[in-house]
Amino acid sequence: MAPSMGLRFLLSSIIFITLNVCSLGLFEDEFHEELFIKPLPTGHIYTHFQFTTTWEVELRRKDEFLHYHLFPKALGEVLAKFSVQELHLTLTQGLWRHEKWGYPLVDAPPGAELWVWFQPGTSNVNETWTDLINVLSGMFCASLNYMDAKNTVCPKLSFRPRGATSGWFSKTSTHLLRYAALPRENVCTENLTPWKKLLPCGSKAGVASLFNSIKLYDTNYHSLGIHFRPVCTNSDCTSTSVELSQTLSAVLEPTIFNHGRQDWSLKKLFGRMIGTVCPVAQTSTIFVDVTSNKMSNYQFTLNPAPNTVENFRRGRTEHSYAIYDIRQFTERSRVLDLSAKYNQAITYSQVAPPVLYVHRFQTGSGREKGGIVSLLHNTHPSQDLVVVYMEVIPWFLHTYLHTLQVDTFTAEMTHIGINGTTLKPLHLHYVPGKDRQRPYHLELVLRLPAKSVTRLSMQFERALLKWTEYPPDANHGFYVNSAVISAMLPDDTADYVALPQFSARISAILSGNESLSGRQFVNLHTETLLVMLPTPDFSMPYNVICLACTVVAIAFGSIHNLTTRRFTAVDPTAKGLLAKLKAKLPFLRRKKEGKEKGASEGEGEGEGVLGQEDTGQSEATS
Amino acid sequence: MGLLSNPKTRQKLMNVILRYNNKLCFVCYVVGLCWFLALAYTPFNAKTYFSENALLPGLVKSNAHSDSGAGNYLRNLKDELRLSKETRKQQSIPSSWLEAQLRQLGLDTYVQNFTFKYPVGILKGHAYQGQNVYGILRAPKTASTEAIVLTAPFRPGGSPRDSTSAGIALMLHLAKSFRRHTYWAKDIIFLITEHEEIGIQAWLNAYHHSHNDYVLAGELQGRSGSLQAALCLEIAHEEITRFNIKLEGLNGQLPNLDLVNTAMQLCRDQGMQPTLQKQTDYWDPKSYEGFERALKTMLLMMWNMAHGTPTGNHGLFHQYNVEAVTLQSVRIKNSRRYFSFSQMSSVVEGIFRSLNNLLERFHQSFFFYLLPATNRYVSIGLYMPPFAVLALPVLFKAVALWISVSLDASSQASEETETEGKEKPSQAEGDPTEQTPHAEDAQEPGVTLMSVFPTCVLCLGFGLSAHQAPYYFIEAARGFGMTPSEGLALGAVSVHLVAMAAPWLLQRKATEEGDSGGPNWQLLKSVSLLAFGIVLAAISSLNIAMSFFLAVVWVPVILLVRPTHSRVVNLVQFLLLLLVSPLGLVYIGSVVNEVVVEKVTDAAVLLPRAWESTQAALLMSLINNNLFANWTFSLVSLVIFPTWLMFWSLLWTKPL
Repeated sequence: MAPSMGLRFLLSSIIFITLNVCSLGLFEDEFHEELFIKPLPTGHIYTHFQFTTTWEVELRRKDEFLHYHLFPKALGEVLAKFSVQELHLTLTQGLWRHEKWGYPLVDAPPGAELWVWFQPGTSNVNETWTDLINVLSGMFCASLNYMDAKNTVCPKLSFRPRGATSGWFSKTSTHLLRYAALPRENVCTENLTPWKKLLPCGSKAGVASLFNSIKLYDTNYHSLGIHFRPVCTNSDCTSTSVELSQTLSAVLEPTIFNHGRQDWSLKKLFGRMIGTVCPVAQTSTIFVDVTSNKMSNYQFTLNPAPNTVENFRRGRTEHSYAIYDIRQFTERSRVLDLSAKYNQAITYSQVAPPVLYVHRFQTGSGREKGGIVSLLHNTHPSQDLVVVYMEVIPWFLHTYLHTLQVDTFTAEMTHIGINGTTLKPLHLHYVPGKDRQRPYHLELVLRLPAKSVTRLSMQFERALLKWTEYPPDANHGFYVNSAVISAMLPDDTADYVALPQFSARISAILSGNESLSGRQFVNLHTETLLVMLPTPDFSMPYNVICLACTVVAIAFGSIHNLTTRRFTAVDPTAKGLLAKLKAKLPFLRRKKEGKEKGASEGEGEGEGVLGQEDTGQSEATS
Repeated sequence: MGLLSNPKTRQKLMNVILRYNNKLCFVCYVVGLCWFLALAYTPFNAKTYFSENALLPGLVKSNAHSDSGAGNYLRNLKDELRLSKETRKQQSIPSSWLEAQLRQLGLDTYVQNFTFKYPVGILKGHAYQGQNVYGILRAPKTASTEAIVLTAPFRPGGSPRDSTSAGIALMLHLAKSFRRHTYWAKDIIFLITEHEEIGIQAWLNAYHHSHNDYVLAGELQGRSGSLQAALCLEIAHEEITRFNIKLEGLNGQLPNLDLVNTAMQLCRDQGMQPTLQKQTDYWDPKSYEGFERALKTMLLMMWNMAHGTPTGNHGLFHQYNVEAVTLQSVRIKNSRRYFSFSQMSSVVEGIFRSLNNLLERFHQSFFFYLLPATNRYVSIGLYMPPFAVLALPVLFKAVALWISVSLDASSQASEETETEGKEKPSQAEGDPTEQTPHAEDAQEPGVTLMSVFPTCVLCLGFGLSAHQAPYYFIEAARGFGMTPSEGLALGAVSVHLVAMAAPWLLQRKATEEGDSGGPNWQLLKSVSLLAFGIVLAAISSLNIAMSFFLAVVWVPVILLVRPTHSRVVNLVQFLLLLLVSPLGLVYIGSVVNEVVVEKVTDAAVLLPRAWESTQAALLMSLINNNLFANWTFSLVSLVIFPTWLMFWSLLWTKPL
């Protein structure tokens, strides 16, 4: 009995503990709100809001996605239903200028971009994807439902899972991945509203209270993002939890309104100040990048002074962030209006470009043929860079792979007609498009030599669309997606701090020094292109169609008749076929009469036949 | 069409054409010409209007009206130029100063280097250097997909053309003013170019990556999206009387009429009366003087279109489907009112605000039109019918000749058959119907058309050689120590002479060999007229002005020419044809230009000067052909010259 009792006790205690852990686990979630502010050397201010919710839940156990605490239920249900492993959605207005601004914490192309990894075992990925985009489209008030097969691809190399995964993904198969972008998607408050409803405090409290649509959308760059992925709960990665990071980036330009001074404050930037923290947030922090203060004598002072200034090394550069714990600054109903004052007005100078940047544009003139050229700059003095270049071109630009040319210039490119050394791609993946079915998809792995410019050019032919396929503003042009460049930057890259792999929180940049010494991953998006297609004159279709059809109808028959007919003069004295037949008629009649007396019906028939021949004859001679 | 298919009415029509074709030709030509010219008269054309609603011209309040801004820039620019003049002999664009100014405004500023050389070793194949400076104002809310361009050429002190310093200063001022606002939906590119059209060509080529062997354009370090429209400033003074709007582009291309109207409207909003071809609108357009003024304006515009050389930097934008016009300042002494930088910046700002409103590329309104006044236009629908009437004599005459050739052939054939019939009466009696197809066979043009074929091939061959030869002539001329323009002119003369001598030699050889054959002159003329008609129709759809002038000059001459035994008539015909030969036309054009534009009246001065400008024109057309892809040279040498040769060889055929 005793052993059995002991066993039963043990069992029940195990069950009890498990239940306990489960029930605790149900609410084992954290929420962090962070604001990162970085003054850029061009006089712009980069602000990045990062809201991170982590929830210790096993991604593959759908039954756990039933009880929600801080994690947004609206999104959680969708993610569970469609077996999403990872989801990255960005909605962006404006273009991030890498050449001047360096790299952002999260890079996004103009318009909408969505890429999703589905969980292994998802039966029909295409169907699931279609359902998912339709749900997300409704959820974020964006036209994501246009991400159909016509512009969805399955990238081979560019988009690897960002979060914790089991071994299955290391195989090259990417059949569980879908990527699509809508370069024309406009982003506005209608997208911001559903996005901020996913936050535990909405925009009622905390840093989210700074969201002022009027100011947010009067910026040089504005990007909303939702990133969902599984992350490791401990350093050994024995268990995983899910992480939802909601990002909002905005680049503002205070110099326009401040008479050339870069001075900024929360009030000036957003028209509001922070008076509260989100009560459920574990941390509410503002980080200000003050690294530039050490570099030059163009400096700013922060008011109020930060709690701490943390220094850390990333590669060979020493960075320092001023850190504000908002909870302390808003105690006793104080209001935090963080401001920075510069010691002088800004002098614009040439900004040193980052290690890797890309400039893409379209070439050629006319509405028949054209081309796309990308200039990939590697400014690193000594190291080659291996990059993955991905291009998704809509089906109506018939792209030809044989026109793909990759030249690299280590010396100066004297003029545009010059050819550099041909660069052989290390790997090439190409899926030709099909009209009205799928886009052209090209992925290249290139080794960019140190201190070089690599020119990648491709020619296309513009398709003539069916007239119902043109949008109402046909003469505006058609957009082509950004190209995506992925690379691991060398460890001595200055002025770039990537978010670490294990957490999307900005504070993680400061904490986990051990994993940060190495190379950093960067993902770039190039310019979108606006391409003109051959467009019919829609302004007066009625006139044109009516006139052209009438003219063709009137002219064609007669001209065809005139040009193909042979005119022969008929001798009026000669006996025609008709006359000959007529001459024969009495003879025939007499014969018939002779053979069948009184058969008058036969005569009638005979005459009828003759009559027909008569008309035929007259037609031939007229 | 029953008219033609019914043999009786057909015969009637043929008779009418045969009998009255000369009168018809005369009437058509006169009516067509008068009708075309009458289009300049106000009651016969239409008032301009805005077709694109999105433009909304002049609806916004100007923010850029500050005299001091542009004035300061102008003073600084002049100081800078004075400094650079002291240090350097050859004055070039103050690129570093301009770059600093644009960069100081916070624009993305770049400098483009380019090299250019002239073809066939003109000026010893020396490669010239140039620089373009441009700054891009990035529209805050868009992803740099569209851009509009504000450009001004830089002209050094010794340039024969008016200075553009005030235009550059105004542009810098506007850049500063535009930068203060966030309402821009399209990037704005501020571009200052060197070496006139070559600079802008280099920049445009680099922007669109289209390579040219003679203008080697350096890669641009930064770009914006697809260019939507461009405005070019040529402002010489701080205070001006008015703006003259230039719009004729390369190969007679015109910008969309909406853009021209926008520029006009915004000038008028500032109380400034814009002009076209520097001709003000007459106060009473319905009077005879009003008609005269309008006709002059229209013909000047057509003249600029006809030679295909752009009237300003805006002209090169058209080849890339970018609508562009130039605002040129006009300053008249003792003018009643002067306009300062303030009003000028309001005009330019207004145009840019309108362009900024555009949702689509310019596609409404007209691309083919003529402007007799700043507020009147003649659309393609209006000018095509009179042009067709003007060109109709060519078709009439061709048909008439064709019919008469066929009639001659059939009468000959019937004569032959008659003689045959007399010799062999038994056969003729046997089956009379067989005669008709026989006569028809003789009428078949295929038999005789072949006789014209060698002449046509010969003429086309000469055309091809005229297109290729200049390069060799210039090479050869250098051996004799001649300048390229002299070499080219002599070459052109010699090509003409050789080509002109060829039919004569052929005919002499043929007569020596006792071959009285050769092409039937009526058939040759008919074919030549048809060829000319096709050429006219083709050119008219691209460059109406060129085909109009060609038709006006050629139609009477080519209708008249025919081989004859009379020496006097022959001599007159030779002279007439020589006058309308391509080289002759260039010379006449130069004379007209000297008289009308330069106001030279003394014949002793005029004729040599005209010859000099002919040489220059030939050289320029060759250079433009290579540097800017101007069609005029190719068109004249490959199409118009062979057509002319066909008429020339007509004089050497056997008269009836």
